Amino acid sequence: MAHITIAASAKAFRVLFNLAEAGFTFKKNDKGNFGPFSASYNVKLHLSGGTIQLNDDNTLEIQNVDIVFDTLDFQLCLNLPGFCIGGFCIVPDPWNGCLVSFPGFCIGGPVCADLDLSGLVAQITDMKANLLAKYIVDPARPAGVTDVEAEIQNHPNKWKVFINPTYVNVIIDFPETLDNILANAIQNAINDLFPSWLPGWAKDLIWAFLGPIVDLIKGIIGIVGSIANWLENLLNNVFGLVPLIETAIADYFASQNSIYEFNDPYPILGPSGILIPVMIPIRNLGATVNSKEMIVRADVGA
Amino acid sequence: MKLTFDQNLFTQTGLDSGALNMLGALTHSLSEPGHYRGSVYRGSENIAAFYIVADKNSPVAQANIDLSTLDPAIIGAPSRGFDQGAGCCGDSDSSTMTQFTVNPKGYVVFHVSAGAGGYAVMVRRAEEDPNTRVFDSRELSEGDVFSAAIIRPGTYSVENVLTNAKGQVIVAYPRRGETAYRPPAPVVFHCSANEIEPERADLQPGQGIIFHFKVRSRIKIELLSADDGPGTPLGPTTRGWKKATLSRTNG
Repeated sequence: MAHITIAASAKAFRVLFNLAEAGFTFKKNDKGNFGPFSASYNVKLHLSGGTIQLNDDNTLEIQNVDIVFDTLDFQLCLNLPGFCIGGFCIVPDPWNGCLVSFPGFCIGGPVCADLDLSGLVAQITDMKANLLAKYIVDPARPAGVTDVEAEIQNHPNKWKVFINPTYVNVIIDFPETLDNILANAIQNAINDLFPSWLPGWAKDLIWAFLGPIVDLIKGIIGIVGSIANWLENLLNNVFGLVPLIETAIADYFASQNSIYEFNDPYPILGPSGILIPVMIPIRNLGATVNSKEMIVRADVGA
Repeated sequence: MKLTFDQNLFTQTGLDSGALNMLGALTHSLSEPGHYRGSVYRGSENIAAFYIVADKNSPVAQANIDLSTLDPAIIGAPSRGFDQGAGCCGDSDSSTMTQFTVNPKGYVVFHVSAGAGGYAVMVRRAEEDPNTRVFDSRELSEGDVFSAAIIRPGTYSVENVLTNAKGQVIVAYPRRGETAYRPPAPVVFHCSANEIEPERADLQPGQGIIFHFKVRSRIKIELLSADDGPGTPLGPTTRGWKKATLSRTNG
């Protein structure tokens, strides 16, 4: 039987989780060149809310945690093939081909569109975990000092209790309205490239040649299906954003931010005058949950 | 980053087969093998020269000669005041002059890819009397072809200034459809002593026009009245985007 048993109710555990959750941030940027287009993103996010269920099988399940994008900027650059005026046949050959064609002139070039996608909705839909107690030696603890000296110098060794995820599932919702959002962004980017001297009829002619922007984008990139699905695949699978977020969340809870910690040795009485603090060594600390509470058990060692 | 725009493409509305700009091209077949010397003029100033070798063993059926790439004002080279009487193929100038090769049964296409244009071209046999011209863009003849693409919407007069025959073309205002616009097939005009046939043609913007000649000709096309469209831009009117209210789907 353990020498020490501490319990925290499910409600108290929820508070501990929310404190840990509030410390999580994730930043990442990446870019890639994919032939007919290049893309880059810059993301910063934090977590908010969610529900926790403690189970009798020593597991806990966290659901519906909002992933709040403080920043999710996406840039897409296309090499507009533009269009060529001319190219028609001047001298046909007898076999329905063309001997001489009008050289013509082409309009086109690179164009980049910036999308602020921070309005996207994302969630940790499900995170399954257990509790894991780790013994952490403070790396800043000077060599050769006693436990008392380490305590006084604020570098004690610690037992830390982490939420240890075994499964994290993140979903980013890419709504179909992204087709229009991206089309508008590309359209505006092209419009911004028009020089100020360009007359209105010339702009109208260029837009007529370019045709529907969604079709244009799909044609250049080679998108089959919706732009939203393409963008989802690009960010999630090509850039691997969702796995990166899932890994960062798992790593954060499992090793970066504990939900509770105990100094070892644990101070029972603080220093007083010439008296040194009274501390007891903590051994064999373990943490479990059941449907009602979190339980931490430990022994008092030598 | 910028799109490729040449201002001259959108600001020049007139065409002249004897003062070529970006909107037009001239086609000529040399017919006979040999060495030819070409001279490029802007107005009365001889600004550049080039050679054409009509080689019956050449597989080249179409030699595109971009007059703007020969223009010292565009390529940044000093003007040398090319003399129509200069020699060929062995004279002091020939080593630095641009040379083109084409099959004599093929075609030389003179065009302008950049700049304000206004070029005329004369071609003669290199080894013969400098005054014996085989091609003069200011006086086109049977077998030559003047082709153009008019992009500015409006009504244009078409005139063969050597015969005073007249015609008219109307270029429609562009419309943004459900598919990308592509101009229809070119309209062919035939210039005879007294007329330009057809006398009138309705064109779409950028649609080609091709002139064939039975008499000596110089085609001038001038904008009579511009069509500036409905006044509502076809492009986007809403700038930027507002964060949409996104619906959450259960996945």
